[in-house]
Amino acid sequence: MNHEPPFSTPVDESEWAAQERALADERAGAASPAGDPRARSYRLLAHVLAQPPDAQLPPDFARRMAQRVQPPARAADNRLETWLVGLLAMAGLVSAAIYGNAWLPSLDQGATGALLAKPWLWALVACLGFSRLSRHWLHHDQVR
Amino acid sequence: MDTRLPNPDRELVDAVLRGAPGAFERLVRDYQGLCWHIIYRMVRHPEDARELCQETFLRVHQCLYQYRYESALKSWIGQVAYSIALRHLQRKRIPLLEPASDEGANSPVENVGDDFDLEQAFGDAQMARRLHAAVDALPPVQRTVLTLYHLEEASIPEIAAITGMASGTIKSHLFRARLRLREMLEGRLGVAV
Repeated sequence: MNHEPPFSTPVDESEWAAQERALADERAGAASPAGDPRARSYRLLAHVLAQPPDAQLPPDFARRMAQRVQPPARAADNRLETWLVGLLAMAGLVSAAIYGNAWLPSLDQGATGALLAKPWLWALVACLGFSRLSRHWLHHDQVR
Repeated sequence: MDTRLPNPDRELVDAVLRGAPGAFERLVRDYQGLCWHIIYRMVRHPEDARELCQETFLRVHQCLYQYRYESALKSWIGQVAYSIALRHLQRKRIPLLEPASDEGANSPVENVGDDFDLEQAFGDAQMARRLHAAVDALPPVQRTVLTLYHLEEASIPEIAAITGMASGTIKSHLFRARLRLREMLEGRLGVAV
């Protein structure tokens, strides 16, 4: 029984058979036909048509697409978390500036305590923390 | 019949719909080649094709919950890519098929002779380049049908599902496009090869 769909317009069936045979031979890697110009033409066509185009999508296309469709809720969660950490750090810094004079000297016991009692050390930690956070924010902006 | 049998399409779609980490990236990786070949063959412009590919996968992500497993996921995604590329060409008023390309023409087989010698053609890079140019000169729909059939190795029913055309029409496009390329190859339509 023939399950092949009929053509929408009349065609030369032997020509169609030659096209299909050349495609099958090309996929099977069969030897190039000798002495049959029609078969050889279709074989060359089958070879060329199986070549992918030169232009391609960038290698990280799938990763970028996945980032683009990240659910807004998760993205908002990440942003909120980052802002809360930043807010906490700022609050700590402000507290240290206002009340530091009262409690920093109380840390001044032993070598470690003496180091912790230095206001410049806290300022250095704050600068490093801010630098790290700002790098994180910038990275987020670039990805989006 | 039990349509809930496990299959890779269903597992992947379920994973994407529940937001499993990495699932959508895997879906894109699996089908980006298919989408690229359809869209790039249709529009031929790399920048436009990249943008349309992005649009395709955004649409796939947005509408995946509507996928009912009535066809393979490959066909469903290919259909989205094809319709987006088609709309792009229609907006730019680019003809999809040559006027009367399939109807009313005498059999072009008569134009082709048997004396063409391809002895040097197989090893000739210039010949391959000219053939690629001849493929590019075909109407967008024929280019795409040829690419799906030869490069993606899609069956005629799969191509019918992607393009929405009847299987008989796909076969006629394939037949005429390949015959026309043979004519060009053998220099009977005034195209030197």
